[in-house]
Amino acid sequence: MNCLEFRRHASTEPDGREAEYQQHRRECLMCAAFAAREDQFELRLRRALHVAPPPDLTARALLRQTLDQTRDRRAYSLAAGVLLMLTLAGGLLFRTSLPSLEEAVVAHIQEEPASLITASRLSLTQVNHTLKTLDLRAEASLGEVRYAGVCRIRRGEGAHLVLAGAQGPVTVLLMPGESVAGRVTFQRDQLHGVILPTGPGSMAIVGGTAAEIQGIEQRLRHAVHGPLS
Amino acid sequence: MGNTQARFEALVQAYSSEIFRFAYWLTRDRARAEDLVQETFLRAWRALASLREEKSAKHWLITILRREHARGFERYQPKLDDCELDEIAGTDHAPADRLAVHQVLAQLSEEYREPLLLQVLGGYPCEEIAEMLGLSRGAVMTRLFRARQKLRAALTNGVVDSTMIKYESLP
Repeated sequence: MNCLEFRRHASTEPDGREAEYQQHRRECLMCAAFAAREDQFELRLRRALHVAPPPDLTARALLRQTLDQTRDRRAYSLAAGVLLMLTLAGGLLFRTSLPSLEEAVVAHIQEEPASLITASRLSLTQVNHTLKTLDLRAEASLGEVRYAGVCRIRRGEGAHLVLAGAQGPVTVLLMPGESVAGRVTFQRDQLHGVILPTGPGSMAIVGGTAAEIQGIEQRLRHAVHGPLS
Repeated sequence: MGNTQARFEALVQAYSSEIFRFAYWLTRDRARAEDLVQETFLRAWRALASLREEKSAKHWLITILRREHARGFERYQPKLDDCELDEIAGTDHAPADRLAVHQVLAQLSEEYREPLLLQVLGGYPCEEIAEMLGLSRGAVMTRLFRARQKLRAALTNGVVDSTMIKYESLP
């Protein structure tokens, strides 16, 4: 290291500990004196830069951190509370937005009034062509079928049949996707009927007398084959 | 959480003064420096998990401080009035020097002021300063030289040391 390099170093990195720098300082008296003046300047500079912090700086920094923690805890609690409320409200909303099965049955019949006025008799082939969609098959002992269709009833698809009854049309809904715990008798909006379990699903028989419903139930259980058996 | 809290408190106790000094000379305004220190430690608290080694804590805090300073603190030249002059002078043995340094640093642009503060107050070597500021080592040394040149002139009452070599003339 020559003198020029040394003095450049001393003017920019006075804390230099490199071996070369220290060696030149030891060997060159002029540069050593230069470095000593730089050291003095550096000492004055550092003293001038040494400003005293406010006495409560540490306490305030810790207080700010504590308040921030408290605010975070409150925010988390509030967020958790809101989330819980939304979950409960959502659950309630979901539950109340899905009608009961008997409500769905009645509503579906009311939505398809044409099914009740058809006078033509469907052939067994026509009926089975419809039932095939749901992997169901009917025998002739089912009786006179005036209407056959596959419809969406609440949660899933079901077969919509209308049988000729002694006192008027009787609607039969075969619902493989709707299970019920037990027999349910209902009367709603001038429609009366029964929903009963069959296999993994259920069937609804709406219209006719109580005796007629019981008779149709027996025929369905013997004449319809498939997932609802 | 208890361990984290204790660690943070130790950090504040150990470095708040140094961080304040850096903030003070960066902003040249005591109130802003105090705010900057508060923000720095708050961010440090939130990111404490990212501090791997305690020995790099000071540099880590200075990095946060510089980022906070760049983020939202307005840069302005504080005007000194008599009360502030007394405050700057302080009560120790270097009031005149402190005023002179304050005036010089206020006149220096940040590109010259910051490398000097990083070196003298932060203790960073030239290579690290260069990396932090995205400069070459030579550029950092030039800026350090010029900043010291101005400060030297101020601390010697305007008399330039006759043995000082002009940096620009060096090969």
